[in-house]
Parts: sequence; C-alpha cells; structure tokens
Amino acid sequence: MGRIHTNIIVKPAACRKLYYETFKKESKMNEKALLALEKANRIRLLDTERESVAAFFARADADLEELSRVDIKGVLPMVHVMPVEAPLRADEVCADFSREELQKNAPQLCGTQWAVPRVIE
Amino acid sequence: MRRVMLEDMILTKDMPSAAGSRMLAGYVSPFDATVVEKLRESGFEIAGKLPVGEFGIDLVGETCYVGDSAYAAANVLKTDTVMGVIALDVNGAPRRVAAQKGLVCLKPTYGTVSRYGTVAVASSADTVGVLARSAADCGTLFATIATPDARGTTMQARKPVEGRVQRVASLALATDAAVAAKMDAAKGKMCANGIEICEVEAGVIATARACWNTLLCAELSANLSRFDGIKYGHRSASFATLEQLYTESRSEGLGLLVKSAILYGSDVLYGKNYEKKYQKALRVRRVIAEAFRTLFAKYDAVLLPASSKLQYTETDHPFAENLYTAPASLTGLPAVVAGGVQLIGPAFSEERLLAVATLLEEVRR
Repeated sequence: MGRIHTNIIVKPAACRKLYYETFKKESKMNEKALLALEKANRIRLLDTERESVAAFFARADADLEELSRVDIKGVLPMVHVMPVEAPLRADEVCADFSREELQKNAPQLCGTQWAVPRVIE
Repeated sequence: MRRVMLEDMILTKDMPSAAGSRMLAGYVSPFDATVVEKLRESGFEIAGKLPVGEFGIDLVGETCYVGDSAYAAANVLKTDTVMGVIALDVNGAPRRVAAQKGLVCLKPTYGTVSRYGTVAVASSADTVGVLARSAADCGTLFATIATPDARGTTMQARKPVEGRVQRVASLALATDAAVAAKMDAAKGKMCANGIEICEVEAGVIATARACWNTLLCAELSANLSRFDGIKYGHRSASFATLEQLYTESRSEGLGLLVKSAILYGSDVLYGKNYEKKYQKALRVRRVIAEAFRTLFAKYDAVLLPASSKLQYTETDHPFAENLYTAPASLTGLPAVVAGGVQLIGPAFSEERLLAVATLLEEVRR
C-alpha cells in the first residue's frame, strides 16, 4: 500500500462532541435576521429553540469556509447530477384521481372546497 | 421469503405515510409509489411501514415524531421476517444504519429507481435504496425496483458497468479506532481476493460535507414549503388569519432539526447569498464530481467509512456525520455499505459493487 496523504484535515469525531455548545457562543446570526427568515418561511421559533438554530447557522457557515479553498474559477454550477430532460406525455385529459381521493386528507372541508380563514373582508 | 418493509418516506395507498413528521401524521396517500407497484407486481408482500427520522435527514432515525425509532430498519431485519427494507436515502441514514448494524445497504445511481411516490426532500439527490442482511438480497430487490418508469421525471436509462472490481482507492478520512479496524479488515478481505488497494488523499472530496449541507438545506427549504396545513397534513387549532394558520401549522408540525435546515436553506438562497453560498456550492459539486471521474479513470471503486463510529451519542449531529455519506449523495453515484465500510462506484456499477459486498458481508461486528 502507498503512503497516506491528506492535505485537507478532517476533524476527528471527538471534536464534534461540542457541536451545538461550542458554536452557540460563536453565532454571528443576529436575532433580527433570524426573525426575518422565520417570517419568510412561516415558522415561529420558541425562544428556547432560537439559540440552537443560531448555533446551526454558525456551524454551517463555518463549514462553508472550507469551500473557499476549492478552485472554482470557470466552473459552471452543477444543478443536476445527470442531464435532465422533462419527459412529455400526450396532451390529453387524465383523470387519475377523484375529488374524494384527493380530499381525503383535508384538514377541513367546506362542501367540495378546502376551508381556509377569510382573506377578503 | 418475499416480504419487504418500506420506510415511511415511501407513499402507500393502504397505509399512512408520515415521513417521520408530525406534519404528516395520519396522512394516507391517494396513490402507491412506483417502487410499491413494482414490488407487488413481482410477487413481494409489503409487510408494513417503518418509522424514519423526520424527512430522513437525521443520523439513524432518532428524530421521528413517534419516539424511539432509531435503527428501525436494522431491528426488523434482525428478526429475519422480511427480505429487506426499501428506504429513501436523503442524508445517508440507511447507509449509517447498515454500517453500524452489520447490514448491507445499496444506494443506487441517482435516476435508476423511480422517485414517483416518495416524499421529496433534496430532489437532486434523493435515491430509493435497499437495506438487507446480504448483498444477494440487496441485488434481488434492486433488480425488482430499478426499472423504467414514465412517471419518474429524473430517470436515467441504465447501462450496467461490466467486469469486476480490481483496483480500489481508499480515501483517508478520520474515524475512531473501531471503524478504522473495520476499514483494515475490509481492506484485508479485498486484498486476499485479489483486489488491489491504494491509499489516496481525499483532496477536494473532503469538502463534500460543506457543499452537501448547503445544497440539502436549500432544496429542503424549497420542498418543505408545500407543508402549509391547507390541503393535507397537520393544521393547527390556534389561528385566526391565514398567516397564522400557515405559521402555527408549520411551527407545530415540524421538528427543530428540520426547522433549522429550512431556515438555513432559505438564507442560502436569499439575496447575495444565492451567489456567495448556493451557486458556489453548485460549482464545488461539479469539482467533486470531476474528482470522482478522475479517480474512476484509474480505479474501479472508492473505499471510505460510512460513519465515524459504531454507536452515536446525543452530541453527534447528522450535519457533521454526513461527511462520509455526502460524496455519494452529492454526485448521484452508487454506494454500497457492507462489513461496516462503504464503497462508491461509477454510475451504474451496482452489480460490481454488490459482488465486492458479498466478500465484505462476512466481516461482522
């Protein structure tokens, strides 16, 4: 077997022990920015959750720094791992599911329609 | 024995599919996934559904809303009542379970098994895979489900790679002593069977985790925006306006790990971060795919661990641990786990990888 060369150091398992704890203090995620993201995603975090989420952000952003060491000059983004061609089908009506089948999981129905709070006064 | 179980990310008409989330608790799909249809057409009985971690992104199934669901697939395979478990490999959980519990797991090439009827999380990477006690069982189930499907919008025509594995590149990635011992045992087994092992530097492949976490969160935030409490899924009882319905339903229905990933993914896609983080990660993805192409010009497979340890603790995190499973997820390449180690091969080399897995599955904990 040949020599082992590793020029990118991968942190051993022991360093991951303090995954959340270490990065809570180092979080750069400010509260205002997090609240804006919560609003955009229709998610309301509890106060007890916010610290953990901020730590998640800090860790993910710290990991992202690794990518700065990769030479991506002139490299195109790879959205798909393989060539994708949307398959087409014949332009004809396919009644695959009945209304009852599609609405069987509805949280609340109003006749044949899904019930939602009033949005127009 | 032609009975299988399905992980809860795969939709069935006759059984609820919750994808491990309170958001979909009690949800019953109006249609079967393609893999379910293929299995039944081939004479397999679907014995039931298994709980998974919420939307498949955790370590080994520990974040399912129903409670203690870690290693659910391994626990059922130990009972010898089913041939295998069909799982959706989103963030590598099936592979980690197989590595730690002495099972065989095949994550096929992206696009060889239809994703129609699976819960979409990271659509450019989600792959239906197989967990079983042996490589032979994995192979049988894979052959059953890896068939063309007109409803699968990201299907690829399979061109199986022929021949056998003769040269393997072993990537140097850090693990604990127990996993390192498994790697050594696997290398010994392969060498004894005439396979040449060469140690190679991980190089850019070691950045796969950071790249994958960025893309996983971005795609997950987009895919999970469909869960709004309107047409299906959990709807909160505490709302007065439509906005509150959305917010309360999603806040109550989704777990903390998923919420963290959604928020981070949304941040990655927003404003200047789109180019700075998301597009950069997509470019690095191409560089990593190219690195694998270069390796496969000289080697038939790449050997690396599937997990850093044999038993996780509550301080371990799936977005750190996926260092080992991210390369195959990111590039869509097939991966097989056997004997506690992972082999990644070129596209469509599943049969070749399973042949090596047959040697390795004798190496058990």
